[in-house]
Amino acid sequence: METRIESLLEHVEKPARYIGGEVGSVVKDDYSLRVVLSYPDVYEIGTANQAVQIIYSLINSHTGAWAERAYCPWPDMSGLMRAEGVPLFSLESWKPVREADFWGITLQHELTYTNILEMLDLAGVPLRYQDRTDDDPLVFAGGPCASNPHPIAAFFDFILIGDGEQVMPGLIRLCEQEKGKPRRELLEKLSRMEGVFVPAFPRKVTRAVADVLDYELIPVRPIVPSMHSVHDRAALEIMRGCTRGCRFCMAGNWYRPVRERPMEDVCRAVKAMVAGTGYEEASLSSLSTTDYSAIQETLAALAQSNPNLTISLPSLRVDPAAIKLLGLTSQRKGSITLAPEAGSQRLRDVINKQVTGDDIQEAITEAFRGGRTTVKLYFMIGLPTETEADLQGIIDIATTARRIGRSEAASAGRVQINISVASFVPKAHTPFQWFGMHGREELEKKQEFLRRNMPRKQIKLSVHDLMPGMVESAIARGRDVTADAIEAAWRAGAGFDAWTEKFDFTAWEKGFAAIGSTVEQEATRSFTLDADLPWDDIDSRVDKDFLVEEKKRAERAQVTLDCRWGDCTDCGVCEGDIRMTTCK
Amino acid sequence: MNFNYQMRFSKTGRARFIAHLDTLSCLMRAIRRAGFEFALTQGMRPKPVLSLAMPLGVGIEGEDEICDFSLQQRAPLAELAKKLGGELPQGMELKSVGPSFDRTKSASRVESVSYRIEFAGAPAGLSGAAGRYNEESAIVLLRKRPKGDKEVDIKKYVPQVELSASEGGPWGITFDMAVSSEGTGRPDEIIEALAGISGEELKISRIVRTAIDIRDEPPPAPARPGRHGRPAYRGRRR
Repeated sequence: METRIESLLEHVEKPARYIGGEVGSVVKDDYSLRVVLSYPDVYEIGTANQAVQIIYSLINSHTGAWAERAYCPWPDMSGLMRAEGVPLFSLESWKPVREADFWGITLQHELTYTNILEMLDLAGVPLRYQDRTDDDPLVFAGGPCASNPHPIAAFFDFILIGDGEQVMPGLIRLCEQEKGKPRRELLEKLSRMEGVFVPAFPRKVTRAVADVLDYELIPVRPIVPSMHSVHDRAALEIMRGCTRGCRFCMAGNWYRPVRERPMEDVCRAVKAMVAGTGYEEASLSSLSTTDYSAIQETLAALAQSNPNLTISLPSLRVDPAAIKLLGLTSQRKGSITLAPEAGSQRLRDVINKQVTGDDIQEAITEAFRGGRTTVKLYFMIGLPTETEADLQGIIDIATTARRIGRSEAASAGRVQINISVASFVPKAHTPFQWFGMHGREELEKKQEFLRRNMPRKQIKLSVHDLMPGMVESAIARGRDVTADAIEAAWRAGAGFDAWTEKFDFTAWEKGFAAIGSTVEQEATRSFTLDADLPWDDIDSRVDKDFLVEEKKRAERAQVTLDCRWGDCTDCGVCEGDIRMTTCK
Repeated sequence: MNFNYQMRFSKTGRARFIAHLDTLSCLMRAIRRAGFEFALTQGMRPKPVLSLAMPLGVGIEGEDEICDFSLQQRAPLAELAKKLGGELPQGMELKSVGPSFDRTKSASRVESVSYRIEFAGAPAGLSGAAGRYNEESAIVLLRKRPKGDKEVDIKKYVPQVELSASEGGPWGITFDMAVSSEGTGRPDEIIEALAGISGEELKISRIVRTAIDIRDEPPPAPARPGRHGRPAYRGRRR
């Protein structure tokens, strides 16, 4: 097998994607179970994913099992693999993935689902769990999109709901004990574990929650790819969860409550990660990093102890204080991205994005004063209750930003405002789960309105393609039968759908035609409040009543304050050991 | 003050698929993981001082590659070798590391490189082709380039190839390839030339760069004695 793989690598683009052997990768000689972990996209995208790194390090350092990795081969490689009869192999051992005991695939994004089928097929593992035998690996999934497991349930033996690190150790222990037992017997046992959804034994599953973020589980020596990846930096999750309560946001409603890592842990871990990887940049990641209670002290401490390190802060809030924080990092001055999400105060109240027009102006002012020349502003269109006035609001913010830039930036001529506009995609387990996506024609009209009316001088408008969002929406709130559409789309040639040049809408049209529907029909489906939702059997720990109440408040444009600073919003997530933990 | 070092390393097996720029990142990170601090270049975007004598094509193995780098502090050599040795990706191995007293980078002084090409099986016509290659006075190949193709005489860079025979017949060739300011050749051009001569397809199993020869530095220009035996003042006079 090794020589066969090597001879393929002579003929493909970027062969380093398939070689393994990176610093930080683990090879075990003696192990109880062999697990392969996958991100269903190409190596340089997948390797940047933190979930895979966390579970990889957890399995390898804290259990007797061996975790390896496999990513989705790029079409040039998969074509050769099929032609030469080389099955999907893991990077560490170059052994077939098919021969592993377990194969875990992370669900970060709906538009990676066809790649899952591609990988199963390349591995020679039956696509559907019913068709697998005791000789096949148990294929499992986890990650944010597992919150609605139904559209892909047909392809998995079991699906982890919630924080993987909470479930994984017990799961490995159980599987070690039960090794060699028939598949069905093991799956039946797994279906009784918290946070495990087994499509063959469907039961109501409650999301697993790690009550604290354990220092011991930080991958302080993560894998350092031997080739350029999308995030060439050390990434540390400093906080999980966000209770700002944006009503469209899947992550904010799913990963509750807020759990902050102690500041000492953050400093210690960053130091260890930088020493262990040789990266010059570390990213403090979370859903809203500037909300971390000790962010200022942490940045100051990190700057002092690692003077040459660049700290990057993703997910900045539209907040002048947050922009000022950037001054504490030695981040390169260039552009900055802010997300007001909606153009008018009314619509921002509907979505509960608690950002005022003044906040936006002050944040932009601060950004230009801080030496930046480019400000990127991110908006959504197609939000519930949206009117033309809200779209006009986007244009007004853009022109205001340009005006501020011309007066505040060091060089008025170099000011650039980039406006990025995506279409809202409703997600399960959010207050907006009952709303359908706007129809294609309506969204096209809205895009056209922006294109026609947005001034062009020093403002660049980029509107996201509509169709990938529609497909995402059709899947995100899909049902069991959606799996048939995904499979049919893959058979019609869909794959690497998140890549603009690979996205093939015709294949998706064929896919949904196979279940007697269309992408648009599925994407725009709305549910009544009393309807049974396909994902009702997944308990996110947030009360459905809370979501209903939030939806009603949204329709009245009423905001709900964050429980971190305001009253308890009674979302229902806090219970026993599960509660908000802040580092201050 | 910077402290200059030179390391020699091999990059074989699967690591031959790591591209040139990625190799640079691998080496930089390895040096940082080993706990050493790079000297930085001057300018708006300071970069670590590290360079390879010559890029190695993707898929070609290197048995003795040369990397120059500079550190901010003097590193104890034993410690440098020990720590660095453990930090390279699988397939890359440290062969030696030591201080460098050269004023110019190896990259600007490469004189020639040596290759070994191993063929799969024992191509019947290889021996004859190698003989004819050596006899020809010029072998002109067409180099395809986006800005118009260009003819090159590959014999200018590789005058001779040598057969390395084994029991089953000749299985490989070795040769030295000149590198000059005008350019150099590529190992696949030699294969192309040999295949052209023998008229048979040559199946390659390995291409290995076995050595990089570096020209000695020109000695520093001696200070010319001025009048009264004092060194002449060579700067601009006010």
